[in-house]
Amino acid sequence: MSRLNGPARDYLAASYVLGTLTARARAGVQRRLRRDTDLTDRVQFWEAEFSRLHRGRATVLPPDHLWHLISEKTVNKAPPTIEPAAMLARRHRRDAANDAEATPSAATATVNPGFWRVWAVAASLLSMVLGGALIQRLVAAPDAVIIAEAPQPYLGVLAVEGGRWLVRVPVDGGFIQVRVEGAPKVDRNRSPELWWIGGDGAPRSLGLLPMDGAVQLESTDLAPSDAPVLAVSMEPRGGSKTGKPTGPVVVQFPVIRDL
Amino acid sequence: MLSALLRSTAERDSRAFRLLYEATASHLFGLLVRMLRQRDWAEEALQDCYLRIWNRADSYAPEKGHPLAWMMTIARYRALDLLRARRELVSIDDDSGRPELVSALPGPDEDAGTQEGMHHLEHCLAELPSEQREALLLAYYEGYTHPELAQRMASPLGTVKSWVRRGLQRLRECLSP
Repeated sequence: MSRLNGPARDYLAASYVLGTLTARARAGVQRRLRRDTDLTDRVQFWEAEFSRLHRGRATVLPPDHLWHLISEKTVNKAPPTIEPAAMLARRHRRDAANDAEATPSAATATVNPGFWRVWAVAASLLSMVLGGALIQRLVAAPDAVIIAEAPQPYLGVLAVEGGRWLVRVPVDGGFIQVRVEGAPKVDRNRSPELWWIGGDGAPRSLGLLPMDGAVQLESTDLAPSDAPVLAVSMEPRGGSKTGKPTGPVVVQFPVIRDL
Repeated sequence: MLSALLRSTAERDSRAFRLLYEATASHLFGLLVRMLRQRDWAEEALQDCYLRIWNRADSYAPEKGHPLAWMMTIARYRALDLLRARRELVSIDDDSGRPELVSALPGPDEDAGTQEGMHHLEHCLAELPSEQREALLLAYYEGYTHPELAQRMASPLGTVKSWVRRGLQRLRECLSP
């Protein structure tokens, strides 16, 4: 992409803002925007121009209950349980070259405890089944038919000495939930970083992992894949500066959708 | 005013966030309903958007444009991501729940708020051949990919692609100082 000339880069930026790119190409541009300031400038140019087109479009009043749902997740939510890890993750994200609209940034929120109870049981069963070994896909690809409800999220269990991280990745973007069980042993000068390896084979950082408690990480541009893999690498404090894993990969897990 | 509300939201002022929501939610929801075509999807997406706005209010800067435009961009990208994820699973000739396209260009009355009259972009759009203009506006408002545009405009894929490409090139030239 960096070899593209000006007009081609401009066309790519415009296509991204216009929305004609496929999911995979969109994800590629979103990744690129984190370090390509020229492309970022072009995207911002088109965003500013096209945003004019919203003027005068029909507004629709959302139902009242939506505010309550939103406020429960924002203004009324309990303080995050592991603010330091989340702050680290957020700072790491800010270190990225820019903060374009589609680039994910880490965010904290508490996680529904009921979800984790169910998930912890499922994870324990899963660990028994897997015996720590890597597995191939456990479930078939979703039927290529009309599916009205949201697709099943991906689930992963990443165990290291002393503890493990449970990870839930929604298929269509949004918040990745991470919860720590036990006390994963990590060198004090290192930060464990979570990676997504999708169909394009390129590791994509999902943020830094907490050492205890639970955290939500935001991500919307994961390369789709039939059999994605989650991995944890030990990075210098604050996370990889290159956008790619630089330290040893201590555990990986081919994620599953369901038991 | 919206800028001040965003600033206060970044400082975790819950009243400001509420006011920001009340001032802008109908705009974002209108966009999401139009693009996603299903109310339940739009309702979920709206929650995602305001969660993101709450978490990212501190990253808004005036050079990113008008606050509402910034928020609409968040909503549009969320809708595009959902549409792309969903259309991997949904046949593109599934037209259920898709409303008939309303007039693609804002009418003159709808833009009466501008003092300076027609903005440069609208002027440049108006100069485009009609099929190029229609392709760009359909893509922008409806979130169509090239194959979907081809289907919607009942034209060959290659033709539609070149309408989009040429339309964008001409727009760029027209918008350049």
